[in-house]
Amino acid sequence: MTGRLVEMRGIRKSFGHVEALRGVDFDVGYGEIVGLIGDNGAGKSTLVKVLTGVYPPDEGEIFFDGKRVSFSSPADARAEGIETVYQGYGVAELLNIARNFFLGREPVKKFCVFKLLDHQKMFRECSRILSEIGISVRSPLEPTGVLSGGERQAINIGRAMYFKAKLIILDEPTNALSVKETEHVLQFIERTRQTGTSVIFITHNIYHVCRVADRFVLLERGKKIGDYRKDEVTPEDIIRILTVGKSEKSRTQNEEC
Amino acid sequence: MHRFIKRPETGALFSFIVVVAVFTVLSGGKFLRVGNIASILAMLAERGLAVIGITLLMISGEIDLSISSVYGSSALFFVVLSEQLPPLTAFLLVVLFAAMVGLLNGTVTTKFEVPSIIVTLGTMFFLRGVIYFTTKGFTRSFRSQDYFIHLLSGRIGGSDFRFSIFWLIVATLLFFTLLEHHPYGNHVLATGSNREVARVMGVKVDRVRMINFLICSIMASLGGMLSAARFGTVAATHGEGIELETIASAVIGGTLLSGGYGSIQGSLIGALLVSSLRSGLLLSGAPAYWYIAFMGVILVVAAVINMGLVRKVLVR
Repeated sequence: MTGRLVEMRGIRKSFGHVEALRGVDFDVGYGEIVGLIGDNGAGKSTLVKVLTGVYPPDEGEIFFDGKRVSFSSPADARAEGIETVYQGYGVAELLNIARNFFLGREPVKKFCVFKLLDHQKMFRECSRILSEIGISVRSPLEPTGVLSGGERQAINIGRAMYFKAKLIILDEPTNALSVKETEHVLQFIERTRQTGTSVIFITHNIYHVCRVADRFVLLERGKKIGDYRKDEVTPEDIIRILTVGKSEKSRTQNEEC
Repeated sequence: MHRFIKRPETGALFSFIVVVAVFTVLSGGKFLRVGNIASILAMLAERGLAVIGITLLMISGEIDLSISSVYGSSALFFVVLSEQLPPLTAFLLVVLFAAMVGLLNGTVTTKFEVPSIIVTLGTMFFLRGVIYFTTKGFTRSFRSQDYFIHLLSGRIGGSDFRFSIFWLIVATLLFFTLLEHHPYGNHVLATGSNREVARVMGVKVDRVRMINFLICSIMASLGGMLSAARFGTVAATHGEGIELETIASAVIGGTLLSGGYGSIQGSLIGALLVSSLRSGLLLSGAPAYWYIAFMGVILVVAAVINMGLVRKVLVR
């Protein structure tokens, strides 16, 4: 194999008359953080949803970790190690933090013939992760609703790492966050490098993604219009390409991002 | 202490203590006599089973108004079937019937995404119609006193207490464990708190709702059969109004109508409060049905207090 974690070839997807993806090639290397950039409606979310099995592609092939795959649901994708952190709805607010963290993958302990929740493990592991993330003041028994938007994102990313995801997909993770919280989440994303986890970072905020990404993939109206390593472009270049078009990419060497 | 205040049942427990204190004084001590306590517990056992079921369902974000008709029809069918069959067989057939009603409610709600309040309102009317048709408006009674029927709700030894309270305790322990200590309970809480998140996290939310409709219907049916075993007689109106009374008990006990929050023990304290209120007002010389008016007041006050607690939980 070529040593890429994700390889998507010639992906097409239409919804009725709307061509959301018009033959997109997209790949992610092992341990690589890829910024997937484009305006609203460019096809970023659709591309990722095709990858995670939310929509089947009309055409094209997907390889994950060297195997041809076609996931039929996000649960399938998760079983193979693809975790998606969605924007907007990340948590069940009334559940306590520990219960939320382990939702759907609760650790159990045998009790007579019953398998009951291992509350001690949930508390212990969740406390450890909270302090690693830097939310040390909270108890895992607090309802998740008390956390700020940034803390919720951080916990969702932390969960993906805890469950040893190979690929974490972040859909607009810094949207609606304050400056301070954004900083916090970005720092946290950088820490995925230590674990060798690959990340797809979807955003239209170029400055946020520049901080952390190794490579940028630019989409426009369902087509890939650019694929650059970090050292090839500046944030200004990317903005110019997205607003004016590919041909206008200038080679002005301002400071890199 | 802080943690205690945040538990769902705190408000109901406090109100219950106040109600007991007030009625003990008003009734000149009659409220706390063994006979009265036994009669409160007998009623609690029957309603309590239904309350446990509706609590689980409400926590997962759904509601079931048909429980009053399931309660009534189960009591009736239990009596009618016992004329021909051994009571144990009749009992099992009625449980099967309730399970089918629950599955029907669950299927229509989850497959067609019709709000459960509408679906179960329909089931409530339909089954009540069937009850009137079956009884032609008359009451039906057990012909014989079988040992099985005695075991459901007969008096324990020669005392004032009945076996039914034992069944309530068993059900309480079972469902408390399920909700608080089993992964399924976590899925129920998550489904009611935020269904989309739960789905994305891999919780089979439709299956959770379906199972809870099933449990809710069966629990109401069991409550109905306990009441049939206690009275020996079932009228066509049997159980009418208990759907709202059980929902009120659950809300008084801190369970949110919108789902995601609540507890079995809280709802049962709510049910105990309602039962105590009824008996207390009676013993204090108030007209018997004043309890309905009082229940309304307590319900609204409890809901306001609960909302305050939840807001405290979420906002701090």
